[in-house]
Amino acid sequence: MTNNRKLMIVLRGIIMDNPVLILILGTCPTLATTTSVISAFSMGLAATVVLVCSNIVISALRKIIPETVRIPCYIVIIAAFVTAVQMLLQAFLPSIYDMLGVYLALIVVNCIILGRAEMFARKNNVLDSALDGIGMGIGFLVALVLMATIREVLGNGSFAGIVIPFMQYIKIPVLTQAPGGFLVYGILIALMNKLTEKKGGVKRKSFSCDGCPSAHLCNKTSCSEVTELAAEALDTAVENKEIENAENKEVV
Amino acid sequence: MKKSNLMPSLVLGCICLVVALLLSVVNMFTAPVIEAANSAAANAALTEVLPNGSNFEEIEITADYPAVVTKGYKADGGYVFQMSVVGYKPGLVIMCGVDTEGKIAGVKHIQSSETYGMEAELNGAYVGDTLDSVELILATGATSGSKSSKAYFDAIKAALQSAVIAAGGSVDVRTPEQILQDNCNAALGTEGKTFTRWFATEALSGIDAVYESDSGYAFVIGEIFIGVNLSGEIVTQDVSLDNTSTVTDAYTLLSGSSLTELTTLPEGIDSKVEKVYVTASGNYVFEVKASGYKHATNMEFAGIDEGYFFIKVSIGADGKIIDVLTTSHSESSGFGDACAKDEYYEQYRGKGDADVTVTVPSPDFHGDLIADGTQGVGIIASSTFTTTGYQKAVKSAFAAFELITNEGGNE
Repeated sequence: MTNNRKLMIVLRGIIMDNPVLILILGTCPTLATTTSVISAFSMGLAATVVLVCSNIVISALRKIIPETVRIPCYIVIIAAFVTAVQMLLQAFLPSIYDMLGVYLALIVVNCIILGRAEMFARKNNVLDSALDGIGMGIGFLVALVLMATIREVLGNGSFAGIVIPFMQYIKIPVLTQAPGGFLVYGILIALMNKLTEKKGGVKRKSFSCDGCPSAHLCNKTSCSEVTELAAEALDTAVENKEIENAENKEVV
Repeated sequence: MKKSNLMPSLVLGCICLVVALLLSVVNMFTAPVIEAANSAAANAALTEVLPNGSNFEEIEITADYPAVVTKGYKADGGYVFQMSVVGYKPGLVIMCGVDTEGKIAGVKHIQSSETYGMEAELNGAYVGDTLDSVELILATGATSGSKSSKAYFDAIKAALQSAVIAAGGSVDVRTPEQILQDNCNAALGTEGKTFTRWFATEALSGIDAVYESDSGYAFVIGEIFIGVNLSGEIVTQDVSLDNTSTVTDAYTLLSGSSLTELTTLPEGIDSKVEKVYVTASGNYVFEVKASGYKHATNMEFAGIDEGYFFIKVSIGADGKIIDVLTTSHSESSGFGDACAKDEYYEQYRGKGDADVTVTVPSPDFHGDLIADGTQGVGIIASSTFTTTGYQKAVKSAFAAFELITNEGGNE
């Protein structure tokens, strides 16, 4: 039972709670580094290492870190791992370091890492946090490599820098550019929604109205409630308009 | 209360301290590797042009080095110099390695906007050349006026000269133009004066060229420069008696050569002949506008009366050209602009009407282009329109000369 739970933690990050395709987190590095499979794989791997390490440390220190300064503490810990990864890449894999450029340093502000620290690591033990980091990291890595494969093969006619001869005549260069990135990203999200539809679809979390500056205006407890009411109001207005039109016709 | 305020800061401070310590440990291991990698990357370009080089050290480039040299490195196997020259376009940066024997070990272009592929061809062409053996090499399809090939040659020569200077030797790094100016100044005992070639309106016997400035003249006989001030006195020391009399006679002729414009010209003179002058000794000077590349290919079709280049032709009483000069032009850089160089004028000097023929009477873009090796007076290879314009302008001058001398022009 415990083993199943551990496995579920890992699988949830890869499929059910995939950070890129379900949670829509880490969009910036996803779009920026998926022009080539090598850079996407490198970014995924670097982020996974930072995610696992930061999750472990944050989980281990969860009882020591005061609630009021937890975010600065998390940022310092994440930044430390990112800097270490940067130094190691620059020293031993300089070509990957040059390829990732500024996006390597931007892992510090990657919302997947900070998000998992805040949502999971600070509430769970070290082992579970490490497994969550592995699952989320692999989920991020898989999504990046999948997207990069589509963009590089169809957009550049190559895979991991190896030219595919027959693809040279049918490649779609726009896929390697920003608009192509958004297009592929959108299609993959749609595909993911379709695949999970039979299992009840992707459950979007509804958030409370705490912290919403307009909360006092709508007087509701959640945005979903507002949306439902708005939809009802719209339906009523449409019905009223139809009745009014019908009455006008009769008068004429 | 105090404890609760202090703890968060303390914990955050401790975390920062531990993180800083751990990062310093990582840095301790990675910094030497990163430094070595950076150094290797920087040396990779240097090693490429000097394969046997090691322990590269940058050397100071002083004023003794050719002006085009921007950087220099000393290595165990020789020297590497970086030159910035102007080819067909500015910004041609070339790196060149010179081995300990003074031979070119390798050439690489760092930055270039030249014709595609030209650099790759020329990079390997000079390997093995020394300062004594190096000669201009033209890239495929380039003409003798090719600025790219010339720029490459200048850069290579500068690297070879720099290697001699860096090794403690001395070498004359002046350009031919600077040498000419220095020789003229030395002959006249002046400093920093600018000399321009005197457009000869008189045939000066025994004189190869005359350069003038606001301080006087420099007469050239072979390789000897003799200065004459504005009072007509020879100021150069150690001049042989033969040369003295030759220069004195030439100066008398030169200073007495006044031009009088012919106000009325006989009918039938080509409208491109704008002005005609006659000298006291009966020589004629014609100012002619010529239709070169710019006018013939861009302006003429649109009916615009612009884009000409202007030349002066002096013809002696014997019907031979004394001198020609391009006074202004907008011909193509690296091609047609050869029409404003002394070696081009030399083709016309001493030639009569029969010697000059128009090689391509009606040039067009589809054929009849003048190629390298075409024989004739006034030819600039690959510049058919400029060549034709110049030849036609000179022929117009000869035609005007014939009309004036046969019918008699009025002063």
